[in-house]
Amino acid sequence: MNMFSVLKVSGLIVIVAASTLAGNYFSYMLRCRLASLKKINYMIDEIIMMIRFRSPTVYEIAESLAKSERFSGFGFLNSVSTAGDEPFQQSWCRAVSEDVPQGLTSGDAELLSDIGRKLGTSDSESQINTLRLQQTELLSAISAAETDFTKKAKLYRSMGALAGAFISIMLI
Amino acid sequence: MKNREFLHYFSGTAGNAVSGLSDAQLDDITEIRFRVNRPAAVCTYCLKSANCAASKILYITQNGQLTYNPASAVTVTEQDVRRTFEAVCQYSVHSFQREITQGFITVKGGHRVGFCGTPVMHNGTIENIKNINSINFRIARELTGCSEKLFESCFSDGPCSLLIAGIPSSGKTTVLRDLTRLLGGRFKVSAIDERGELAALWNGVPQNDVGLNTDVFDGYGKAEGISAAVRVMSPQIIVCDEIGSKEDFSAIREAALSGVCTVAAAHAADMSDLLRKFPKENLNIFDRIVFLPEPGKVSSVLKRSGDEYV
Repeated sequence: MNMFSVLKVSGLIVIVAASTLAGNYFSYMLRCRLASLKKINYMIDEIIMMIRFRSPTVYEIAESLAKSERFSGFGFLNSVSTAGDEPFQQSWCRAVSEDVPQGLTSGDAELLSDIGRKLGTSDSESQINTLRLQQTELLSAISAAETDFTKKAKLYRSMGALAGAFISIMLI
Repeated sequence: MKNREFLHYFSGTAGNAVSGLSDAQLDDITEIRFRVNRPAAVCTYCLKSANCAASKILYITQNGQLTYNPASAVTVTEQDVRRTFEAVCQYSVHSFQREITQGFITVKGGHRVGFCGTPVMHNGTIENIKNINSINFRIARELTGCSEKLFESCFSDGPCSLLIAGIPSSGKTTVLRDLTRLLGGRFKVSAIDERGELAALWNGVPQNDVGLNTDVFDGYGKAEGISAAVRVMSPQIIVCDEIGSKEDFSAIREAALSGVCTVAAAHAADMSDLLRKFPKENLNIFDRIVFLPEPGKVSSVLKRSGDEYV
């Protein structure tokens, strides 16, 4: 086996591996999106509970969420809770846009921004109603993400490997 | 400096002008007023002359100077007022619903921010206030030692019930705050701090010195707070600000029956004003009455002798 053949085989292996990794990555992102959306759903539940029983300020809400291990993947919460000088709603949106939780689409990120945008702008009852409405919207996004995940996760993984193999065969 | 902490609540161009005020200027200011499309104004202490009601209103220029000329002052916009209001609410309307309907919010440091606008009614009660057009930021101060003479003359023999009366801005709360500190050093005291002006509790920690033995009932209505204090804290003295309703007097009477004295403040210029506002039998709960004719001044203490105060 000469040097050229060795390089060729190595290249083909790299192509197959890269393609498989790409497939796995897309599949992983689907799982991340689903997990992040579910986390946002828990977060809304938590906010509703806080507003109902403790009536904290929006900064206290953000600080409490940032401290919770359950939301450790939401790095944007730390930026919100420490930003004291700019209006909260503005600070929340900025933090979300700078640090979008893993896997979320731009639509999902907009939904997350919207939670902060409306937080603290009305009385407790209206606040809870608004959050419930946002939760309904979120649940349909979760349902769509679940369908996506079931349908596409395995497909992406298989497609990745197969595409790699196909390209390799074509190159041989 | 503690006095500058509240400046971050002010927004916009007018807010920047307020932030430009020097420490020395802030020391003299009692109120900062924002009114939509009108110059930013302040009220200052005016103890030098008795006839100074008009002269104590000053205006703030763009670069943070005080002037008597409103034409050279910075104009407050609708957005400045709205933003300032939002900052005072900590962008959390739901957390201050009760305070908003009452027309004021007490912020960190015990400063009381009053505002006026159009009420939003629901079932005959105020549910919210919209179109806020004026904000009055009353700067709270601890004048340590301002009530020492009063404390010595009234409490040297032990607890007693005292009513501190005065016109608005006469310094009732300031005196009451310092008296709470002194009383808390000697007696078991429960402070019913309905508006957060006595202890200025922030995350459960008093921002003002309320004395070593003072328990703070923060945000309680006066009547509920007094009943709760008598029930659970066994105080020797209850302190509360601005009493006036029948329920307040009824709770104070109940506390007196349990052997608990009350130190309270009420709006009244003099004895005749006090008698016009409150029935005599309500006033008789108090062993002593003191009037604050003007800021920083305490008139002689009236002692109850039978049904009369002499």
